[in-house]
Amino acid sequence: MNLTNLVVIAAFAGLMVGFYFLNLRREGRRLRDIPSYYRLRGSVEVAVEDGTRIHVAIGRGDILSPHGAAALVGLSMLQEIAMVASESDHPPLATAGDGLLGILAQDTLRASYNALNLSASYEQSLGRVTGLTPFSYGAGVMPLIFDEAVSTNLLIGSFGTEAALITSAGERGQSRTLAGTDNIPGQAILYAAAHEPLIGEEMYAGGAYLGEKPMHVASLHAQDTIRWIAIGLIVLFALGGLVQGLL
Amino acid sequence: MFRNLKFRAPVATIIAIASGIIMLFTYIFPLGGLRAFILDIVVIGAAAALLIGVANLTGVHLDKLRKGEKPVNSAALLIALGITFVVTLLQGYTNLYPASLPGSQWILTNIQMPVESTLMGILAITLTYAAARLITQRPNIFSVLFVLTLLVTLIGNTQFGLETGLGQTVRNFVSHGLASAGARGILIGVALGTIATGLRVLMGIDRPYGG
Repeated sequence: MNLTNLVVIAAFAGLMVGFYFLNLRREGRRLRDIPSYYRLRGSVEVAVEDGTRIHVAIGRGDILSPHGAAALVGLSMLQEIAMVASESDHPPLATAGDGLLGILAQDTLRASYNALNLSASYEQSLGRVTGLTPFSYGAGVMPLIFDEAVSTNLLIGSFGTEAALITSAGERGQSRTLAGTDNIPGQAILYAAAHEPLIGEEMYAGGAYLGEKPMHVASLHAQDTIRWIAIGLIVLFALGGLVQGLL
Repeated sequence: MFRNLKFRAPVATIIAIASGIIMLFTYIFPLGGLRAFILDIVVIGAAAALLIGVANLTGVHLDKLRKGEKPVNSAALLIALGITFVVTLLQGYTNLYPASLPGSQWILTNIQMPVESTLMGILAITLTYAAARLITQRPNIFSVLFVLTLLVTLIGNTQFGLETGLGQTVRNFVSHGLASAGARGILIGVALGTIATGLRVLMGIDRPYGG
């Protein structure tokens, strides 16, 4: 029995629930500013008014691996955006580099259309698989940005070096790109290539900033608490090692 | 007919949460081969999803071909896809596909790898341009640090850098020191985000399956 895993997960879940009830009593969300998300909200509103399209790239993270969490965040943000922009002339378009993610993207979009009573307007081609290898995925997304009147690209998922191909297409298509990935080299690339890069755990905060659901906000507070505990333990162990070395 | 064949939201949610909790428990408690059994089923599903992904790609390009939107590109993709699929399928039957004919490995080595190498070349130019543009688009201390680190690392890996010992210093201080410390910090954040996302799915807050 792996008790450490159980304790960490139970503590995390407990903190989430605790912060959920605590936040119900407090006013305001008490979140730090991530300007990229405020600009994304602005871009979504402009896209709806302009009749341009929002492209949500979920990447190619295998849902059966830890990279799947990044893809789940992408799907969550796709849902938030679809709920706002699906009624426009050019509804949001989702691309994935994995068959399973392609199905989940279609399902997420269909659920949003159903929730908005727009089932008749839903098209299967709004969720697309553009390629199944990193470069074929990137190469498949590039023409789509030009052809589909995309004004905002949202890259949320697991991306590697191929992300630079997508952001460069966005740059040439004069569309704004907000991007986050769980991949370290991918983050370095996106820091230079995207208009609005999301670093580290910022990507996982999308639901709280876009949807403002109480449990999303609570999970961010739980993340912050555990992070400070981890920082404290790292410093403590480092100092312990130092003292032990000196004695 | 199949258009209306779908799970009702509560059923999908219950199945997703129950499967997630069972999988989580297999990592905490010794439940025999239950995890391997569930993963075997999921892997078969994922393989089927791969085929559905290919079908989706084919459908999108057939639609483009029908509408006349960049038909040459779509036709090229569909022909290449068809040939690769048929060749790879027939290769499994030696009586149908002679070994002397070029197979899927030939396609991979002589078509896909050169094309991907070309894209890698484009990527190098794209990244150089992006790094140069960064200073003008986001003029702050982090952008300056980013570009300076990039330049020092690049110079450190040239002949000049190797001869003067700059390369060794860069590797020790920047790559093994600063960069790996930063990467670990980012990874801690990513790990916490991953746990939070997983727990939200387990609690049914996030339902990325149309539930």
